[in-house]
Amino acid sequence: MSSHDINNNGRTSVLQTINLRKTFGEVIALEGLNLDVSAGETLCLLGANGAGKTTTINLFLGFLEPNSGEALVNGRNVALAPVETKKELAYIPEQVALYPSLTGLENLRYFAALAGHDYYSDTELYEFIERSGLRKEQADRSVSGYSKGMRQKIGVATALAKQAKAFLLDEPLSGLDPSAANEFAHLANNLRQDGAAILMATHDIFRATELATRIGIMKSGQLVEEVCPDNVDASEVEAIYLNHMRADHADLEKGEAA
Amino acid sequence: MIKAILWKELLQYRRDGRIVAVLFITLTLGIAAALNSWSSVQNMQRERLAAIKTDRTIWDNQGKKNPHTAAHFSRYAFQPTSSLSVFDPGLGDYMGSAIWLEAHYRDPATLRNIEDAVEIQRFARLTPAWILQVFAPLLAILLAFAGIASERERGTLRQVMSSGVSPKQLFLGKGIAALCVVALLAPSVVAAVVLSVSTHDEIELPSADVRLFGIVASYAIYIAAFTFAAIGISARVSKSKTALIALVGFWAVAVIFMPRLATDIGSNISPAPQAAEFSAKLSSESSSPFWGGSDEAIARREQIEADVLRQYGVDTIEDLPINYDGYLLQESEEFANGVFDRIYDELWGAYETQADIVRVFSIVSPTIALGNISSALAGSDLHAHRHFADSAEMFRRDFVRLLNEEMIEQGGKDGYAYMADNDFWQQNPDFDYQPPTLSDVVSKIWMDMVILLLWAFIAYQLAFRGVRHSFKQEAMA
Repeated sequence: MSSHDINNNGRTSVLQTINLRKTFGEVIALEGLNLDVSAGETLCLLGANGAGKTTTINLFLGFLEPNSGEALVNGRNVALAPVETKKELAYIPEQVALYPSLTGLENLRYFAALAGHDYYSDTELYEFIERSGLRKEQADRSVSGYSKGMRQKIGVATALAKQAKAFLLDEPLSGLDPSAANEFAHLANNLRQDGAAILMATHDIFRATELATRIGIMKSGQLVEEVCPDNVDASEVEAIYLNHMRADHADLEKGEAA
Repeated sequence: MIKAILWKELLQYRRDGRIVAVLFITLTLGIAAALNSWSSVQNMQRERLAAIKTDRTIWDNQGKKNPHTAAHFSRYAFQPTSSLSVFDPGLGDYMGSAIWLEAHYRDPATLRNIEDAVEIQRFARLTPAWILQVFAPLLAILLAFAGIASERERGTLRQVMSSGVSPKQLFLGKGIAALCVVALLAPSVVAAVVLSVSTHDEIELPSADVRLFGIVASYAIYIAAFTFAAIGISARVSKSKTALIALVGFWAVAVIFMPRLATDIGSNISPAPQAAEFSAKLSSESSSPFWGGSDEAIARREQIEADVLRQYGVDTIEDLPINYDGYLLQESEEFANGVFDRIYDELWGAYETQADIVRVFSIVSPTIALGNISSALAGSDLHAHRHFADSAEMFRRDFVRLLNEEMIEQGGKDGYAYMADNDFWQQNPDFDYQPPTLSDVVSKIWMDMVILLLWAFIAYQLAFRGVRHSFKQEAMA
């Protein structure tokens, strides 16, 4: 086990970045990002658009190559082992995309097979469906009639079928009705309690406070502050967040004035 | 992983009513084409076998007749059909399969259709080969045009990428799935083959098994090229509708318009003579310079007479131990044969130039290359017909020589009054046609094979690089 694998709390890091830097031409998306998420932890990343949240997720998924630094999944460098690390990850975007002519079950079977789990029986796949909060008869319907929340549940079922160790959630609650958002939050908590490491990018401070074991505030490609929701409530997190955003705004105005 | 993609794609195809309908229609057309082609070949064979029998019977029983008169009375050479022509009759229906063999003349009767040899390719005929050449690529396009573009449009490409699928795996999974569906058209090919086998094979083409394999492989490469191209375009454009419009446009140009345009251009650049003009030229140039009253013709005949008198050491024709009329007739044959060779070489040259011009257009139309390969392997292309026509001409020359020699050796002083009888006719040989070998055929179509392979290779590269590009684009999104 390398030194990268143990975080400050002495727990095993499942998701970790070390001095991660990513630029798109002149634009710096990430600048020396260091974060880690252990098994049984949920790290919610808060930040304005362009703060680097999605870029961080894309780097963990191996979609992008960093300019420098490392993104690690269970101690493995994503850039060096992109296929192996993807097998440990579950990715749930804001809008879980599915094939409309297939049923929920068929979509699940397909994505599980893509991840190398092509051996599940129907019974086992239905179990994943039910654990994600979807009923069996719903899973047998074409997903063309699915709500966004139902699609998210297929995404969760896929993650369960993949036996993923880490979850990358990119704005998963955006656009969900309160009931569906509650259901999803409940699911995410269950996953964390079952030992998953969850990295969630969100704008929703109140859900972040509810779900996270830690909240990271990102600004200009850096993690500028970490907050433990056990010690603060949502309004305090919001104040801290806005404080950072205001400072950003002030910097901008100062620059314009100069 | 490829297996999973294949399964999902096939499931989606099965649930897409449009694809099921197009597949059903194409398959029905293919089977109908096989039946139609089989029926046509059967009829041709039946008629030809009856004609061969009648021709021989009439020849054997013509009674007492001067051998040279009998040479004018004439016989026919019939081109035998192969079972593969059920699949691709090529130019067989149009170029004629019988040549009248008579003295003094290489009969152009069946060549009248040859004048339109390249032009007639423009007309669609319901044959299994035509169905596959035209509709199979369209089906491949309909299956694959949305392959990558729709994944990107609905967002599933990102989900797929996050599962660890590589561009090559996605491309192969989708490509193989589309090819599997197009392969469902195989029953029409199988029907053609089964019907072929059930057809009395007049002649076994050399290396028939290899030819059949070559035909199947060529069509597979052709369809794969269109499938790859469809995936490649789908990966490069932002919307699947754009891909469909671009690909159907390409299909219309490459499959429908370009072969027609190419034949028009070919026949304009290298026109073949009209049948009447060609026939008149053959007659005038082969007959008058020998039999005419010109100084040249008279001198030629005088020279022949002097030579034969010297050869036999006599002073007059009456003293010759052979029949001089028969000798002179054979000499006129030898003279005319040289003329026929020259004029027919010009004619075939014009057709071959047309075919070469058409072949240039296969750079933008793989259908042209495939058509050439398919009809050549089925023994029904222009070269196959030329081979038959040249073989028939060689037989005509030998046959006329045989009859003239009978008159020369047996005619004595009787000349035209000499009569041979049925015993002699019944000893005369039949035309025994041996089609060209596979290596002969391949030597004519190797360029088409290279072009078709090049098409498939470029389409593969387009698809593979396109899918890789779309992965990069999606990752940046």
